Amino acid sequence: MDESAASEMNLVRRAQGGDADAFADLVRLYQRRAVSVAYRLVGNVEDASDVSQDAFVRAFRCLDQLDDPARFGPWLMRIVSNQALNFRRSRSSRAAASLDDMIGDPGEARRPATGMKLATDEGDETGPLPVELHDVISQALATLPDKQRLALVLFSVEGMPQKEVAEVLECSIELVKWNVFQARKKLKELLQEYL
Amino acid sequence: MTESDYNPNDPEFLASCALDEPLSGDAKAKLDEALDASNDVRSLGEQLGAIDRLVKWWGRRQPNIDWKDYTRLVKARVESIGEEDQLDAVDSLMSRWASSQPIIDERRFESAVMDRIGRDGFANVRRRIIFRIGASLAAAAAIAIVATGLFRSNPSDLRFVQVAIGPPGRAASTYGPSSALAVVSFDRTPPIRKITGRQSSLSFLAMGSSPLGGLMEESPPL
Repeated sequence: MDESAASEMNLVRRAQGGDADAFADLVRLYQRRAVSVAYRLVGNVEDASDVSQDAFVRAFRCLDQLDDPARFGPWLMRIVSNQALNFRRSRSSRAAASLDDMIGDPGEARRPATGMKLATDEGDETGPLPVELHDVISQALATLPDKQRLALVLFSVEGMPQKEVAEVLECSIELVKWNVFQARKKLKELLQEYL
Repeated sequence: MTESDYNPNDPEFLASCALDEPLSGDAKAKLDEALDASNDVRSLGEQLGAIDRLVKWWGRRQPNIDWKDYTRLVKARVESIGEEDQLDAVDSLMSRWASSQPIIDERRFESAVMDRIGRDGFANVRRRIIFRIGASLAAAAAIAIVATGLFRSNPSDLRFVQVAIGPPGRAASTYGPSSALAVVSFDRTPPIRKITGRQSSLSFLAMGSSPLGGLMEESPPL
């Protein structure tokens, strides 16, 4: 076990004992990935921030149910994913801007959430993804079944190891691969004209 | 296709897996065989690769938020969990309290309500009729007295005031001449079961001092 893993386990144990500072350190370690995963699933920054915060609070409440402190990361991502997917399901009754809204009105996607901005990582092979294409891909991803979308987001976008994705999805590694494959295949049909 | 359709030997699946990691000897042999046999598999593999690049490109857009503020918010929420739990407990208690419903005999309840509506409604209608008739009579008499100069000093000049009660239109025409006539007319009392429907109305004729013949106008319903 490397030093960082041992340090993380120590933080988890302290947090399990009710140490809020230790938990804050865990938040610092995982907040970027948590917000990013939530953002891929709910489609806008503000909701992603809220959903991921709720997930952290939920995680803190349920820390005593985490048997293996070494598995905190995947366990947390499972909570984040579930919170985000539940939020997506209940969003139809909410007025907040959403991925579906962006799909309905592509202009919405260009508008950053209040007080927050969307940063695009440059320096890639062809420059930033055009906004219109970004929206088309968001729309296509939104049509995938939850498990396929989650597998693709965690594995292909977030770069999580298949083993950890399997823990999040609570399935075997082979089924993670299968879900990623199915997601790619459906996207190939939906995005044919962009290939 | 769902998870139940999982087929580890599906050439298209192997082509997808090959994008992510080197295949094992057996899987690689199967894929190579499929690629040699069909251009479709090769084409699909290339398209899946293009999709993977597109998705990764899509994923480069990152939410840009104030991470320090984010950490502070989460920490504050975690530290106030005890308080939140207490509020949740109160909410839960209130919900349970509100969910307990009194058990009643609905048929008896409905019957009792309808009985009371009928009884009270009847009493109300009766009170209204008495009040309106009484008020109309009093008003008519008072006006007639003033108009005919009832209190003249000479008893021979005394005029009669006739007060008639009847339905609209009939009340005035069915009474003979007199010095003055105050006519009170009213519609029929509505059925008791339709209390909120038609209202009874009362009206009276304006009166004059000359013998009847030229009838006067009937006032609008009061």
